[in-house]
Amino acid sequence: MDQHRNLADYAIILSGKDNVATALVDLPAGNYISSSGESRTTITVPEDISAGFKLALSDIRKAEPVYKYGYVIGLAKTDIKKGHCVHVHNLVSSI
Amino acid sequence: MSEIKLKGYRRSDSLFGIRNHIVVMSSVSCANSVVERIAKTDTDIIPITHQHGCTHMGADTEQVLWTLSGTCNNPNVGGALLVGLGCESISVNDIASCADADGKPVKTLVIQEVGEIQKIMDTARDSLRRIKDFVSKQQRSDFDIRHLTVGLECGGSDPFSGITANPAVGLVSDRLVELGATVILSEIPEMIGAEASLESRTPDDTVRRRLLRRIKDYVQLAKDAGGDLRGCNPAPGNIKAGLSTIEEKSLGSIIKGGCSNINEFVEYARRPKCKGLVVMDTPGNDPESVTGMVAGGANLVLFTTGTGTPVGNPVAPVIKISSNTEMYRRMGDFIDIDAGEIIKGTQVDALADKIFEFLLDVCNGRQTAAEVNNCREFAINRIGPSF
Repeated sequence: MDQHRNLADYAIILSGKDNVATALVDLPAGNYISSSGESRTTITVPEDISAGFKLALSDIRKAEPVYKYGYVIGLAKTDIKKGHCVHVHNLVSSI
Repeated sequence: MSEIKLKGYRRSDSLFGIRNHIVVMSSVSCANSVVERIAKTDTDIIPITHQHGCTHMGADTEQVLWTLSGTCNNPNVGGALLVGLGCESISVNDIASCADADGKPVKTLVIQEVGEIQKIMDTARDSLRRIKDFVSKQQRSDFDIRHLTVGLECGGSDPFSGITANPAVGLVSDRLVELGATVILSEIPEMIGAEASLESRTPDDTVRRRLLRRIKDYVQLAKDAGGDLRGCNPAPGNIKAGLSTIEEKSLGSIIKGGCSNINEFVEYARRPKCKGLVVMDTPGNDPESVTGMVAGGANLVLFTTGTGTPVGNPVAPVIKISSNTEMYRRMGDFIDIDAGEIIKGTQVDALADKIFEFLLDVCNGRQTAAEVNNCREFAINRIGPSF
């Protein structure tokens, strides 16, 4: 299988509270390692994610809040699996 | 605490211009062609025209009057010629009586009184010569940066705006606040969904209540207009770029205000009374928002953009900061600084230093891309219908 890439080389997590990361460059499908302090998690990204788009850092269940910048940016419309793209197809404003 | 001195045109003990513009302004849209004709006779003169000045009423009339007089009152304006028709609801005298407080030369010309076009051109030439005589004698002198007012704006946001350009501008904003200057954060509809962040740093109860009330008003205004913010904001271009919700867009947008406390909630085109970070009640429409902040006294505007825009202002330099390098390469001569460098590893604080140094240069006379390109958008935010 392919090697594990470092998520930080491709995406940014803006707050420790966040459950999504934002791709800074086009992020190819594959396996990534996300490190935060002592903890390291593996994230499998099933599809390429374009620069500017978000990916889930953990499983997010339907109706659960999605955090970016440390604040709620909306609610999951469906169950979202870790590593999947998070956008208007599975995220809805809570306004 | 403040050590930074700038060179500007003194209007009063606490007001300094970073430009010394002479403007020719119409009081009503009926005078626009005459204003443009007068301005064509001298490239140093800046024409300001608009679609308003008559057939509005109440608070709406007041808002138009405040915007016009506030623009003349902006410290970057050294003198003004106001051109009216004669039968409009906002007369040149109404504007002049609000606008000449700093002792700057403000002359008026009423088309119906002067009569024929040649007489109008002769009268205008005479008035402008007197204004120029006065203005040309003024020299730049030292002033402390705490007398500076800076407006913040973002237009055509993309997902990088909240990661590159806006955080860098946020650091500049905090630094200006620390130095005692006034910074205006605006665009109330782009605060929808970011209330928790704004609330936590607005210590004054009244200011906080007014700000939150106004954000709610905009949600209601959208509903009353038969719309739903979910359909129009984020705009299709925002969504295509990766922004999913209004909350995400707003949280990325307000970062440009840094993390200082919000000291005041100021009406559209009104001059803030407090120093530090204040919020002005403007719409998300870029030219309308910038026009309001400049009428409220902003000497210059820091404007971040993801999709790119030429928008400038007739009297205040607008510093354009791109959020991504791809757009910067495509629209380079509209942009002053590329914050897309942050994606490639430049630290946010290093980019903020670059913006701050550029801002100081612009205060001392360096021209921005919008000035070089004569981008001079002027748009008044109306709150009522025309009758």
